[in-house]
Amino acid sequence: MRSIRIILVPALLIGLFAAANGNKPALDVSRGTVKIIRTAIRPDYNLPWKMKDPETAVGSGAILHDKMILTNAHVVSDATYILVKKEIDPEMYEAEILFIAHDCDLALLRVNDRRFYENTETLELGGVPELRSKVTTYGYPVGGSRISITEGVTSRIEIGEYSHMGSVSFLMIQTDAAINPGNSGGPVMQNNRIVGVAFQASANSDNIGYMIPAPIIRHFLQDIRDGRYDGFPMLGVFTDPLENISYRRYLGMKDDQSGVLVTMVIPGGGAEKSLRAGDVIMSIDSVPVANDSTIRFMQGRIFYSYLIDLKQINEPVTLTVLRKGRVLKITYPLKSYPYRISWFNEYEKLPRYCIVGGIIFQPLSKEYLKTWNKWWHTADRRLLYYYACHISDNLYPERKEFILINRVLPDRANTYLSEVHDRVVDSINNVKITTLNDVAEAVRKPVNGYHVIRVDGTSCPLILKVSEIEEADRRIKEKYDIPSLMRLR
Amino acid sequence: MKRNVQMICLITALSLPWPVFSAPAQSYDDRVVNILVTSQKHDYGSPWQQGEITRSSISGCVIDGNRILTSSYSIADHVLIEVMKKGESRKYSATVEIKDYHCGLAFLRVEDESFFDGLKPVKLLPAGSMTGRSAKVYKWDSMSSLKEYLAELTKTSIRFYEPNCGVLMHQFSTGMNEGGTGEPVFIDNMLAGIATGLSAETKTLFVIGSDMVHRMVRDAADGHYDGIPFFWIDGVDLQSDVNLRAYYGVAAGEGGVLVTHVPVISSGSDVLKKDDIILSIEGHAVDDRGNYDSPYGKLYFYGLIQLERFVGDEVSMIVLRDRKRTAVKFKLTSVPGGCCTVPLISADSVPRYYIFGGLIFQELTAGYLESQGKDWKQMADKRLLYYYDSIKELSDKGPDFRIILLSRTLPDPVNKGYQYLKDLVLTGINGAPVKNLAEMKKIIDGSTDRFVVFEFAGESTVVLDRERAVKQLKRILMKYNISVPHNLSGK
Repeated sequence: MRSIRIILVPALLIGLFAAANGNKPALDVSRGTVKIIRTAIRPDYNLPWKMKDPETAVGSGAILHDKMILTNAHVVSDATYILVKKEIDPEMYEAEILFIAHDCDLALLRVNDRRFYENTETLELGGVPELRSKVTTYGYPVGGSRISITEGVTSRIEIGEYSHMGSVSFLMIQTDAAINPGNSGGPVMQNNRIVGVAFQASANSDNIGYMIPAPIIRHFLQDIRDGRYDGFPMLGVFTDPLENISYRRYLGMKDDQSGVLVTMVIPGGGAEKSLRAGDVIMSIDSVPVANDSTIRFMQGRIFYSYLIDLKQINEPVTLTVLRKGRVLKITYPLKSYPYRISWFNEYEKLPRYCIVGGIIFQPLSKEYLKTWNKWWHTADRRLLYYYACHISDNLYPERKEFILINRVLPDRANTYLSEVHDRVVDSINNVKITTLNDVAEAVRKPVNGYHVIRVDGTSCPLILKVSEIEEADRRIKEKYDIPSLMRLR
Repeated sequence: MKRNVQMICLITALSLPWPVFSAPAQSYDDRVVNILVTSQKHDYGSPWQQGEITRSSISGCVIDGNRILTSSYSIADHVLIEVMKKGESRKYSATVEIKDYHCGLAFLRVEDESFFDGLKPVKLLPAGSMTGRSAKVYKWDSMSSLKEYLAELTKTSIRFYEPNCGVLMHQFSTGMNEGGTGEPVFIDNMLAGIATGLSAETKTLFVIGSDMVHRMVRDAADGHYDGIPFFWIDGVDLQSDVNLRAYYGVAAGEGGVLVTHVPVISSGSDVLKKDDIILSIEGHAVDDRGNYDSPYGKLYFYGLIQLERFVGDEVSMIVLRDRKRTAVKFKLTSVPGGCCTVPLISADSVPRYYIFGGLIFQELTAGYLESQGKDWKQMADKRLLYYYDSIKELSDKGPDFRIILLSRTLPDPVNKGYQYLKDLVLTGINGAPVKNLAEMKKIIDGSTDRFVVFEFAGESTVVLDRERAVKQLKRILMKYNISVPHNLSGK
């Protein structure tokens, strides 16, 4: 149903690599804007011990206080080597990542060579621009190598999906200033202050570019003060709007009461002990929530999640809740998202796997599903159902993750299993599999000299002869050139 | 992967007309007839009304007893059937005597028996391997000329119609670009089968073997046609998998099919068990690929049940159970009507629906999913696809259990806020589970509560004021031009 639920539809937005700029002569914004050239390498979730070919891309960034360079996470994610270049300096400088926040697509870099900071401007954060007000984008988009400056107006302010990590939505500002690949990470300026970081554009319409607004940037800068990035918290529940009057009457709501309905309390989330399905959230930190799930924001309304997004993990939230006709004040500390199947794009992580007798075991994740072309339509249907509905349909609550058989590397020891692929593992040697570690544990205790692997659905068990496995593993490792048969963390 | 018992529904591939090389075949126009079919499918998006009207020209042939034999899928959703013979312009109206989607064949009758004057029945080809033999396919073209095509038999196998109904299927390689719609196929002047599908890509004509016709004639001989026996298990061929064999204690050289699931509604569910290994059926050994020796060569074991036996017959099997050879016997039952939890045959089906407060509830059927377009297996809602894929497990919830969907909403003040809901799976009403639409209506009609609470999979709920919804119904029906607010019988 509609709501704060994370959006599982593949993003229509494309990540861009970007830039920005601002105003009048007093500040030369182009001296605070840099080009970022990054080489990255990503793992192959299909053959989880392998890496794909390195790729180089260009983006933009802005120089902040304390010699920090602000850019998008997607400009520097999975980087093996980052170079930064200024408009007026022929030199390229090596940079390192200080902090990276994939959820809100922001990162901070630093150049260690002090000469880099000569003749640069430090840019400061501003506020949220008014609708229709002018903004200027600085950066290094495709179509040339020198700095590009484009002007546009603030055309829309709302909560939208950040496509870098995917399935997460925060405040974003839409502008008609051209934002093209290469602009990503560049500052969007108004009155000599940064009002946003250009980061993505609509893939199927012209002149719709998006920037990350100052409140989200501030959240990031505040989060890292303790030397670590923790991310955004979650309310910990799924909610539905209450636009139907019969539903409000059923819940005993009066005409002057409004709010959203808690449809599900997410197991392991922050609200687990505080909220119940059927509660009506009437206000968040004293801000009233309307029946359509919105709150007042500047001249309009936005989705209530904005109030949660302004908070840090472990910060308390106070809700006014209508429960069975009684109005309660409930306060609890917010937590991050407790997922069992990763709904997100992942970076700087290597896939976990475990190979036994040629059978590749891996956790189910979005990255794994993405190995199918147009994955949302073409991936295995059971896997997609688990992915999309495991929380809402409370599938296998005992599983901390879903372990699947990616495929079987053909070998003498698994001759009749070689076409098995994409099955979700239920048990191995009668031990229920709830994590990847369980696989490694379970194969230590074979049943009568065999490994008996049962999968979800109605197919027959996969059976391996234990006495053949040791030799088979050695053979498989060598034949398929696999450096290690296991990466459990 | 091991060959799972799969259900393959053959789809007729239609293509553009193509100049035909061959000329009239006088000797066959007294057997092959032309059938004009007018059909109309239901509109699942607006289930109270019919969909597009289509007309097609197909073929058939005359068999003993003044019957016309054709492909059942070619006359699916028919409104009117007319038959013509010998290139004459007169159209005789025909009625359906038997239409069986589980074996792909249909018998037609013509009221005006004078139609059969000058026509003679075909002879059925006796069983036996015909691989490599050449055959002739006949098809009426432009209603007045009979076209002859050459075809060569490439393969004979058991293929499956839903639900798990094995039929003897011949595959011919042919130059036909159009067809697969009831054309008779002859070898040595005898009927080898009836075409039921054509793959234009691979130039393969799918032909239901004459054994199936023979079976159908015998089945109908007592005046009551029972159809193909229902045998609906999941099984896996053991192959030579030494590990699997050792684990289940199957001796080398012994064949068999490992039973992985037996839905309660299948024939034999009272005696067959999960993990049984079927070694032989009626004395015929089943090998490690699940095949038996037939006059056509190796055929998949379903042939032993569905090709040669009838509803009510007893089947005996030897299974390996807990490493012991065990004899089991069971009676074959018929395919339950509207099988099964997710009805799999969409032809001739009238969608059941129920409208309350502008919310349209429907039952999940293959027809509903298919109506979402050619790519429905990719595009349809993931939860619905999962239920569709899990139909055998779901069937254990009982023969009248169906998945009820809130398919969509007819926007009206009474359902304000619910307009965007679609494809939600109903799990309960007012806290109680619901088996099917008829029960759902009964619960709502009988309720005295002020509100009706609909609970859906995925933890969402919809609440309507019962009286208000009832009051608004008339207006909603009028606004959206709906004649009847529900169809619970599927008729």
